[in-house]
Amino acid sequence: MLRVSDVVEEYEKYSLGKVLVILTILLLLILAAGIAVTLGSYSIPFFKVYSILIEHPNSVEGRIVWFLRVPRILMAIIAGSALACAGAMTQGILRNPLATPYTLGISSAAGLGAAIAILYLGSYAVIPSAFAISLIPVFVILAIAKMRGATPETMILAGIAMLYIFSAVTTLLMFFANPEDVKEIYFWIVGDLGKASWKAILPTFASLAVCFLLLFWKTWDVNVIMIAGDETAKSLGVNPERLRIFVMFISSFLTASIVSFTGTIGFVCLVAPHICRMIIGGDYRYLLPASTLFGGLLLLTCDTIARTVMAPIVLPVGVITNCLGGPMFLYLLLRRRREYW
Amino acid sequence: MRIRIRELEFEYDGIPALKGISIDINEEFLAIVGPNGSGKTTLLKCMCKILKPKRGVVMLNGRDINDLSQMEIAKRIGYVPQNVSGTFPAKVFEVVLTGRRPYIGWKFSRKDLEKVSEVLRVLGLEEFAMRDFDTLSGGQQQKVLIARALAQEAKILLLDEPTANLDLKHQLEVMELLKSLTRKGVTVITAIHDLNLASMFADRIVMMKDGKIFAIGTPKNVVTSDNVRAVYGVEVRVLEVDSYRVIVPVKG
Repeated sequence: MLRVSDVVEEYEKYSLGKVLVILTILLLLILAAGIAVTLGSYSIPFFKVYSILIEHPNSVEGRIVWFLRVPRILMAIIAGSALACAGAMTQGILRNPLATPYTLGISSAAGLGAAIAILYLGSYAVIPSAFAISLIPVFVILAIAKMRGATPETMILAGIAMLYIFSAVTTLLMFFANPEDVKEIYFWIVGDLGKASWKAILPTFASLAVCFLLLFWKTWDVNVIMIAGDETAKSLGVNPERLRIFVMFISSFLTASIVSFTGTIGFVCLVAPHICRMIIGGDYRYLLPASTLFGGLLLLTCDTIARTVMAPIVLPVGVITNCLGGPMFLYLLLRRRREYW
Repeated sequence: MRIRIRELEFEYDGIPALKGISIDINEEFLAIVGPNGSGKTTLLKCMCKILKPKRGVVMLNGRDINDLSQMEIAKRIGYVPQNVSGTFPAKVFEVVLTGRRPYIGWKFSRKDLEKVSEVLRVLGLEEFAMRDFDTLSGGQQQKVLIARALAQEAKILLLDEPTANLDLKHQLEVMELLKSLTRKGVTVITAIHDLNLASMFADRIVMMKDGKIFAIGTPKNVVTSDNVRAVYGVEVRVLEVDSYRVIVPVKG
């Protein structure tokens, strides 16, 4: 016969295990960043890199480390974390394993915004234009969410419809563009961290930090909705419509603020939350921080491979995320026997 | 806790589902019976503001539930939905823990965890605490959903077909459990198809037809062959076995 305190203890032990997983991911992330900074097409000895990090010399090597590698690594972590964070929340709030900012059309809208800027406005306008256009699907989906009787499925289908519309318009623009611009747009659509700079770190990090905290605050309510469903959630005191609008707005805004700097890096937002869910389960109070850190780790790893595998050629990171992430995800899905979603 | 319902009306896209329902419910075991589509579930959902009625009021100890926030209602009324398979996988403990939502903002205390384990123990579910909800049998799942409503510390329980899909033993177990709750001062209101179970356990029975109350009263007065013929269009004989009323359909 189990006593009350035994059951509580068992649950607390289970929760502690999840905290340990999160700390492990954090540790791996720091380790990966420490290794990534020593790798690159311009070879700098391992210990030299760390002395540069401490001393800030104004040499060629110093500038490579400080103005190319470090901001790029930070950008990879921020972008991966932000996309995974937004992906985890949209999957939860729409109760659908495929619902991510990517499938909701936000990324492809940002792609169109970037293409318009590259072709007609000049490169200075890429980020504001991408951000402005990417807000269109955000508001369309929110408008649908406010409609009476709108289900999560309606929102996802509307998102996919917009994904096709924005991609089609972008393709049309590329069709009549000159080859140089096409290449630039293409890089943007695949997703690239090559333009990472210190200037981009601050606004993206601020967006990630604020949005993460706002979303984290709602994780308990998301749990209730996922476990109990909309109607029973209401009887438990949660307003599913209002929660859905809040979470959708914050995660969309977060995605838009990231992809306007990096282009549409796919897959991280879908894969990272799923892998974490397989490891620690669906409790969002643990899943959200785990997914966020894991997304950063995943994108950083992919980007480091993108920088080094064919050096001195640097591949767009999106190619690597799709090539590596796809098969890895498929393998995990097939290996996993029990239903986890 | 007393519930008073007056002239309650509800429609789904213009199709009326409840037509002027008025009932007074005290601390008791109330069974709501009636054919499919007679408005049992709709009535339950209107009683805890999952659905907003078109007209009429639901009063909880003299207060209109429209003046109460969803959170305040959640502390008083627990809703146990019909068990649907294919829900999101979660541990039994986590499912019951969501019942503590009305009491905790974000961080739960040891008291909340203890409340959950205590409820699990009362229902004999403690050994399943760390099992995935969807690996449990139908009867166990139903008990877990009731456990969640108990963790809510609600004085009123609304249940939607708690015995559907359960074998005979579990049907009786769940009904016994509900009966024992009414002895602790909980008001139990349950929609149920099985007239025999309803007659056996309920203090009063509400028989619904086409969104209206057709009959209300003790099982003896409500479950009669005349009423069953009028409401279900079925010929039955009502027998009495060990002071319980039993309904047997008549062939042809």
